[in-house]
Amino acid sequence: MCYPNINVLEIDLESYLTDHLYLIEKNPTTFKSVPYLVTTMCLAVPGKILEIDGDNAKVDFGGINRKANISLVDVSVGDYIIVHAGYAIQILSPEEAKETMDVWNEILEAQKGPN
Amino acid sequence: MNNDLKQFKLRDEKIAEKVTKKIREANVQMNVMHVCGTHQDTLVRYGLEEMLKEAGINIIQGPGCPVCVTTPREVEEMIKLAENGVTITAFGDMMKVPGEKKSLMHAKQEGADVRVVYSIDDAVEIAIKTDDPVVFMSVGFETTTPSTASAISRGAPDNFYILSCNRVIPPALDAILKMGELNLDGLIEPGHVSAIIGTKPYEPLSERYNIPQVVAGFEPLDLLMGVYMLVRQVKEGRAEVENEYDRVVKTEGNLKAQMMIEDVFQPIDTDWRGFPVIPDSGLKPREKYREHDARVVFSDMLDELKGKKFEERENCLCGEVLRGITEPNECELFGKACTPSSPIGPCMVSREGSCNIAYRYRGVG
Repeated sequence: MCYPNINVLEIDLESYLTDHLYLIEKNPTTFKSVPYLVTTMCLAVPGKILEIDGDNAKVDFGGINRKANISLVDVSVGDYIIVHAGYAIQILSPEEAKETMDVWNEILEAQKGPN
Repeated sequence: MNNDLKQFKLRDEKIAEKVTKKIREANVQMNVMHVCGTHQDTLVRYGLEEMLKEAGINIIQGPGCPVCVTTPREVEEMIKLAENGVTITAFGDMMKVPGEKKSLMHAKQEGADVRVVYSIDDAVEIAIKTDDPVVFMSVGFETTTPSTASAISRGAPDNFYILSCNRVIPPALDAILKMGELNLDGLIEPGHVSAIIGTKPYEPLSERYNIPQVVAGFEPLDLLMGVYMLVRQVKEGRAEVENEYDRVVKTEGNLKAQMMIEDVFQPIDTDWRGFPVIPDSGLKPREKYREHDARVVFSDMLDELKGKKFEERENCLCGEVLRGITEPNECELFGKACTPSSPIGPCMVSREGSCNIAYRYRGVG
């Protein structure tokens, strides 16, 4: 096997989700490098809800805390959200990511074995 | 994160190679269109475009940048309001988009009150602090439209107005497929538009034009996977809507956001830069919100622009670039008269525009 440490069974849903956030933290090309006031139109970034105050929430974007409007989603503290132009547009959910994980497993499974 | 190798990486080069190998092995030649500037950024930045070309997949960017498809008329409307003393608020990447003669940036330099906002909430805040009229240039596809709808339906101040330049994606895809200028074999659908509308609105397109579609996310592996899923459909003779970005996109989308859009806006026929009028592809505020509709409230200023024809800049090929029939570097202005610091066409202005992306990552030539 070419990647002894990548075992398909270890690619679980949680790490799949965590990676999306990990990228923002470690490889912050999407968010931090974009000047605050330059909104790119369909760029949306994931963050974690820290506090909720009415329609607004304090959100952690990989170390940067910023306000986001949560009137478009039903969320609680601790949820991971995708934020675009100051508004949370959807909740990141590992449970729903099953379909794609199956295809990933199919690709990696098929190429497992002597290489 | 110590056990990095056990983690699934959306930028893992080795996994990328594996997916690309699968695509290559399928031995399928395809023209694939996507309609999103962020997709284009990922494709060019990580060199996926070239990788995919070698594997037989030709990727084309369609009209996927709300800033780019905003028409000179809409920019001229904003400039008109600004020059009449109205406070204008707009997203940063609208500032340099050229109208017929100038941009909002030019109007600001000439003394108009034009302010950049990050979110419509910032614009509402500005309105709260003054009695003077404040207009927000509401640009965006389904990703952005709900924020405007939310701000209006939650109750904006009386002196706050929107100039709707909002557009919707599915009718534009239909128009492109109907025009048939490109021989398309598959569509990559925009992940964050789909986060709102879900996957169902794309289904009629697959039925009507027998074309496979995949909703994809924005990381390199998301896009490679999206392409692989298209290739797999072609191999298996299917033409369906599949969802690669299911960690964010639900089949039904964001129902709360959809309800807000429905409450505030109604569909209208509208033109897109580079395209003729596309039926039901635009949005205007419903009658019950007319007191926040800048086109209604400031009709005395804006009516004289009605029926006026606005010319594109001479030799600018943005229209062709947006329809996917011309590459940025085929335009004689590209990188010469037209650069990100001094753009002539909108595709060079926005960081999501094809020309801007090509200039930043590929350079001139």
